[in-house]
Amino acid sequence: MEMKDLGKCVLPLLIVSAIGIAFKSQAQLHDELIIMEEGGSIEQIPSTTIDSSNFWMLKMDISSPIAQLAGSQNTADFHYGIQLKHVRVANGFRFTTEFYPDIDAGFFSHSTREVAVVNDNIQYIDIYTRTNVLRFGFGYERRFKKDWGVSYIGMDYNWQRSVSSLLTNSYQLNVALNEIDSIQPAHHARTRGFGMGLSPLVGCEIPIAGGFGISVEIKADVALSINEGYAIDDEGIITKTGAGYYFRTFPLLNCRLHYQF
Amino acid sequence: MRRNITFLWLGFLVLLLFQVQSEGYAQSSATITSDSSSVQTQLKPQWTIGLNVTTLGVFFLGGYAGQNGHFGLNIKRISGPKAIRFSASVFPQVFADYYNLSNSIPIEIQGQNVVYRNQNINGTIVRAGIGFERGWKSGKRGRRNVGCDLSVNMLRGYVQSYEIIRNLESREIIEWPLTIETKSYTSIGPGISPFVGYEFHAWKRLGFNLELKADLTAFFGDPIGFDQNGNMVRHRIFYDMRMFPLAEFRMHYRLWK
Repeated sequence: MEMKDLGKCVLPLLIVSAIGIAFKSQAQLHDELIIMEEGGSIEQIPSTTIDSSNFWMLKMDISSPIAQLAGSQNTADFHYGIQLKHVRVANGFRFTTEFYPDIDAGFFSHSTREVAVVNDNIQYIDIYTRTNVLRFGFGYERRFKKDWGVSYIGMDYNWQRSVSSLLTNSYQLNVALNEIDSIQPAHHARTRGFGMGLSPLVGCEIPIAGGFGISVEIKADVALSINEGYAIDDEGIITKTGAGYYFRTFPLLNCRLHYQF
Repeated sequence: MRRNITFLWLGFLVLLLFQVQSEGYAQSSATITSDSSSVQTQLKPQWTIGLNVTTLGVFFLGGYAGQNGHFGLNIKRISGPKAIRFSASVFPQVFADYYNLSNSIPIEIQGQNVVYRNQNINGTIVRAGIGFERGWKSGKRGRRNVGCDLSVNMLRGYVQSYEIIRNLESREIIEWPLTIETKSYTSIGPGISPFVGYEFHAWKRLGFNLELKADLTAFFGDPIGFDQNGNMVRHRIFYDMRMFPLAEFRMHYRLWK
């Protein structure tokens, strides 16, 4: 590279730097003037200001308690969740973890299958399933300041791990005497699953007081998972079958209590 | 119990009358003592109409409202910090069950066929209420409020008993229903619901409400039950306490501002 080419590169850099320094000095001068107008002292108050648009937020998921308070009759999709968010000016970087202790509670967690009639007895099996899901997600959001708070739009990428515990018990019911006896030892099995999903979202954050606030988020939280399959015979014995693909949605609305620090 | 509820009703009516009377007094005083338009503007009542979206909210939050599923309307007249509210709601299926099979009892075996007696319980609650609240401005677009609603509730429904025959080899229902017996019932009762709430005016006219409340109702009636053999019996008149959902979401629309 020749000197004149170097000069071509250096000169614009110098000009840009000079403009940048000029702007920064002007901004500092403006801050100092405001402080002086308000009767402050330049020596006592540092001339650099804290950038309030660069901060962290901790959010606790309160969707499930709210749903229960509003009259939800089952605990399917009941979950605990926590989210850490780093905000840089208008950009937010989100890290979320959620735990669903019994994701199908109420609907598919218990079923009864009658298998035979012997004299006055009905033989049946009780099938219990409990599936817990652990999810991790990270995402990006674009933030827009409003006079009432902040609105944002973004997307999360989620990764999930699920474990299903299966339990079967065999009973016989004597119809005449209305008595129930256990006739088989219980059978247990455990299946696992893995999945991932995308969740486009829009939301808002409303400050309440002292750094605390409420966030409401509407999202299309869909996930595709690969789960081990199983089959249960009439004696309640569980055998694992090949893997299957499952598609499901998670709650479409999220309420969180947040703290900005 | 009835006496206590009567006292509660009377107490509430006295408070309501006091509220209306004091509001009327404030309005007339303002007119007499001041001709300034600012006082008039401040006391000009504002009407809002609210749509109860609690059941929808529960669904979106991942829950299942089931027998607490309901829809309703709420009309509010806000005058300064005080407001009078009128509400009506319907709970269409207060005995909804996931499969409604929990009341299925096997009563007889005929070879590989089993005769079951099923019980189907159905009920609808209609509620109408009146209440008052006091509110405080909170932030640029918010309003906190506290108050109490009183309601009249009617529960009306029927109980049905029928038999089916199911073959356990083919696992199919081969005959149903064999005999049907239906009895209807009606219960009525008063309800009281103290609440705290928050209104958020997201737009000029449209906004959201969240209310936390202790919504209690006592029903008096002659309900129907079943004996050990699954036969229907009508109980004597008694009261039954019922708690409604403790949180309520509404979308409201301000008719004018």
